[in-house]
Amino acid sequence: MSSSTDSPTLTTETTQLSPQPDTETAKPTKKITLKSSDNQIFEVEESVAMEFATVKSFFEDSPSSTDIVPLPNVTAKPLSQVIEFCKEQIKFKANPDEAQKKKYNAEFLTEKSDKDLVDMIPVANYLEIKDLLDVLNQAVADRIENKSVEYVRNFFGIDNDFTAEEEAALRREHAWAYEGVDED
Amino acid sequence: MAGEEKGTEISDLPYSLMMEILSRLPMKTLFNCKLVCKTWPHLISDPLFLELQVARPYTDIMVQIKSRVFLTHVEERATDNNILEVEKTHFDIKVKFPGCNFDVIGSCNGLLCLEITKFTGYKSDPGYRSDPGYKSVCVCNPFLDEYITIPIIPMEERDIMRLGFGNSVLSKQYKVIQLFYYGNSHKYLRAEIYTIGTGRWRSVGNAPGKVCCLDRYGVSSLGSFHYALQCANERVRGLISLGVVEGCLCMSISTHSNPQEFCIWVMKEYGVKESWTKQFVIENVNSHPHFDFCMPLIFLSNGKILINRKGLV
Repeated sequence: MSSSTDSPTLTTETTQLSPQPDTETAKPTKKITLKSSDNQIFEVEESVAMEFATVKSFFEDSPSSTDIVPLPNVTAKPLSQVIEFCKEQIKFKANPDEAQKKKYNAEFLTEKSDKDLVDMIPVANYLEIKDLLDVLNQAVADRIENKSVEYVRNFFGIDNDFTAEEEAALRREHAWAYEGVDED
Repeated sequence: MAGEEKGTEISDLPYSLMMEILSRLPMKTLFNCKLVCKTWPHLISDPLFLELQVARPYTDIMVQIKSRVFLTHVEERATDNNILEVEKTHFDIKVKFPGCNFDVIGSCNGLLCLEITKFTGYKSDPGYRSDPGYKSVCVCNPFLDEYITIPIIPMEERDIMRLGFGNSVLSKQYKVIQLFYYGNSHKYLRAEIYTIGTGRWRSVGNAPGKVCCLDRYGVSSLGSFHYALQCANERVRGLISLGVVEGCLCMSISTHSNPQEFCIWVMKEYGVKESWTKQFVIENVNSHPHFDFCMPLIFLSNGKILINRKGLV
C-alpha cells in the first residue's frame, strides 16, 4: 500500500477545476467555494458541488448565499479525491457511456491506497454522494474479502477489544473460517 | 492511521454504513469479521443487516449432503466452465440435536428450516424406531448459531404430508406451513401455518383439489405459499416443483411422456396467470425415474442456470 505522498496543493487543485474543451465552457460557470476542516479552500463548479446532496440542500435552504461552504468533517485530501471523482461523473452524465464509466471507476479505485478508500467513505457519506459511496463500499468489501481478522482490523484501523481468552474461544468455535485465508 | 487530521474516521461511521460494507462480503469472510471487535458481531446479527444482505446478488448457497450442511460460495469465472467453487465449510447441525435425524425443509434468506425426528434408542438397538411423537420443526440461523424449535403436535387423525418454509414479503415474517391429510380415509387435505413469533399453528382450512403427491419445496417467499396442487389443477401431468428465482415464481415440469426433458416456467408477473412463460427447455436430463426434480437456483449472467438436483437445498 503506497503511503500518501500525492497530497495535492491548492494551486493544482484550482487549475484542474476548469476542464477543457467543452463548448459549454464558453458560458460563465458559477463557482462554489468549499472549505475543508483543515482550512483548505476548494473552488468547484456549481454542477460538481450539486453532486453533493449536503451542499445542494445548503443552497436550497439559502439560495442567495455566496458564502464559503464549511465542511467541518472533511479533510482536504479525501475531499480533493471526491471532487476528482464527481467531475468525471458529470461528464458521463452529459455523455452516457457505461463501459467508459466502469473503466474510469475501476481505474479510480485501483490507484487508491487502502487508506485513501477508507478515508473517502466518511466524506462521501457526509456529502451524501450515493453513487460514490456505493462504489467505495464495494471496493472496500473486495479488498477485505477472504482476509484474516488482523488484516481487516489493520485495514480499518480498528483496535481489538477482545481479550486473548475471548478471541481464542471464538476462534475455536468457527475454526474453518480462519483456514485458507489469503496471505496478507 | 493518521491521528493529526481532523476528519471523520471510519470508526466514527454510523453502523448502517458499516453494515453496507459488510453485507457485500461472502459468509466466510463474515465469520472472520465477527472477531474484528466487539461491536461487529452486533452489526452482523442486526435484522437490518440481514435485509441488506438479502438484497445483494445471491452468491452463497447452502447444500445438504447427508447429515451435514455445507456452505458453498458460488463464483462466476469468465474463463472457466466450472463455475462452482465449493468451500468445504460445514455447519455441524447434528451436534445440536443428538439422537435426531434432520431433513432440510427449506431455506430462505440464510435461515434453514429443518424437520427434526427424534429416535428412541440407537440405530443399532433392536427396538429402534422413529417416533412420530418427537417430530419437531426447527428454524435456525446456522451462521449466528440461533435455533427456534416449533413443536408439531402429533394427532392420530393427521397424516403429515409436507412441510414448507417461507418468508412473507409483506409482513417480513417467516412462516412454516404443514399440509396434512385429515379424516379417516384421508379425505381432506388441510393446511396450517405457523408464523414465527406468534407461537401457534393457525389453520388455513382445506386445500383445494385432490392431490396425490405434494412437493416438499412447494413454498415460495413471495408473500404466500404455493403448492404443487395449484399446478395440478391446471392438469399438468408429471413431476412439478416450485421455486423462486430472481423474485419470480417458477416451476419446473418434467412430463411422463418425455422424462428426458423438463421445462422451466417462470411467472413473470406475480399473480398474473397469463404471465407464465416457458423460459427454458432442458433436454437429455439423465433422469431418475422417480424423484429427480430439477429446480433452477440462480440464473447466471452467461445464460447458464444453476440447477438444484436431488438432495440439494
